[in-house]
Amino acid sequence: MASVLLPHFRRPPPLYRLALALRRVGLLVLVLILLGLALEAYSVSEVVRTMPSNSGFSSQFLPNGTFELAGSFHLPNGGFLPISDFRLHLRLLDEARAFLGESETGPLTLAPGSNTSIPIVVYLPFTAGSSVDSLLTVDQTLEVQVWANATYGYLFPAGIAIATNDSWGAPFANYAVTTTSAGAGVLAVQITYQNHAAFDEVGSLDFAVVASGGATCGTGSLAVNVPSQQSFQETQNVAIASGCDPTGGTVTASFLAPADVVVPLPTEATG
Amino acid sequence: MSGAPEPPTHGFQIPPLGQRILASGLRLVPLLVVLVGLPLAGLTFLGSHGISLPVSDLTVTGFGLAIAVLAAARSVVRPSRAYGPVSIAASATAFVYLLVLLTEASYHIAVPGSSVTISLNVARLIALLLLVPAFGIAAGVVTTIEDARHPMERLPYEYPA
Repeated sequence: MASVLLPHFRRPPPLYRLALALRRVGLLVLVLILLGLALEAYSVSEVVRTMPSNSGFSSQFLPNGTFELAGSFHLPNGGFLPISDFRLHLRLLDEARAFLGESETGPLTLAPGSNTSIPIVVYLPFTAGSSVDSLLTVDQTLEVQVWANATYGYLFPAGIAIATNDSWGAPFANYAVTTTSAGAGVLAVQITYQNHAAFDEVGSLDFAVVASGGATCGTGSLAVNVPSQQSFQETQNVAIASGCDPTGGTVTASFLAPADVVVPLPTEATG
Repeated sequence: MSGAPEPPTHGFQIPPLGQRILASGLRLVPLLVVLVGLPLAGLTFLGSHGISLPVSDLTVTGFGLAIAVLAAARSVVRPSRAYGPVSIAASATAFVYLLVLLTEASYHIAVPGSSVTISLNVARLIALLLLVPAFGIAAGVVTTIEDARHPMERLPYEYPA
């Protein structure tokens, strides 16, 4: 009887112990992974409960012929695991789906329990013939593409992409210049537009009447103080230089604001 | 219970073959639910909501069925020298299954009715999970060697009297 019971108290052989240990380690790894998954799932549910928000975007002209769109995203991490390698991309397309500008932020680490404010700035340079120029004078629907990538809890690289449409109010909507003769050597220049932007315009409109050959026939300046959503319509008589014929020429204008802001406006034909 | 002649029981008690088959058959049910039923239900649920994953029903069914059957067979042949090889086969099948999933570990899900697209990469998770069958294969190899060198050595510890 003792010989029958003996194996129960003997130390198991090495190979048996090794196989058993390997199986137990495998089981332990599985349990740990499942526990980690459950932990992450719970933490993700806490993150989802505290959704990100944005502060809205402000816009302004910059001195270097650039338009700036600035805002910020508030990203709360309500979970108890970090969100690492967070990158936020934003891209703007105009109504014809032409590229306007983009912004990239990151990489950032959002600590557990934190509420991080991430600034977003998009610079839109005004260059002749570029898509950005149309933003000055044409109200349109812009496509805003936002996508973010991050790794949650060290384990899950994830991303989210959102495409939304935002209406754009042009600061010089329906900009138009008309010229009429106001007597010998005098040209009446009328400039009209509507300020559909969210900001007020204070400054001046400096313009020049240019002959078809390129010579400047005359210049003028109009004071501008146009609140948001208001119209502008002003006429100024310009003395034409002797020998200069504005017929078939153009009127070039720029909006000048404090802090050396210069915004070139589209060139309009005289007549 | 009837079945093949059992090895001599020097200090251990091997359950009869019929009992082992019955126990393995009962174990097969939850295995099939976990490895086949639930994944298929998940794929069907996501599919009905317009979200399709790169994993096919056939892959899930095929591998799930194979792993469950091999795991059940492992229990049946546990007292024999086939235990090690069948353990290796079961773990190797699970390993290959995970490798197949690893090749399609990036999911891009377009949320229906919105302009939102979510992408998720589960490669790291699957890579970690690969450790589990890897340990299973290693254990199977060790058991195969043990059974070849010292037949029935482990039986008193597997089936104590």
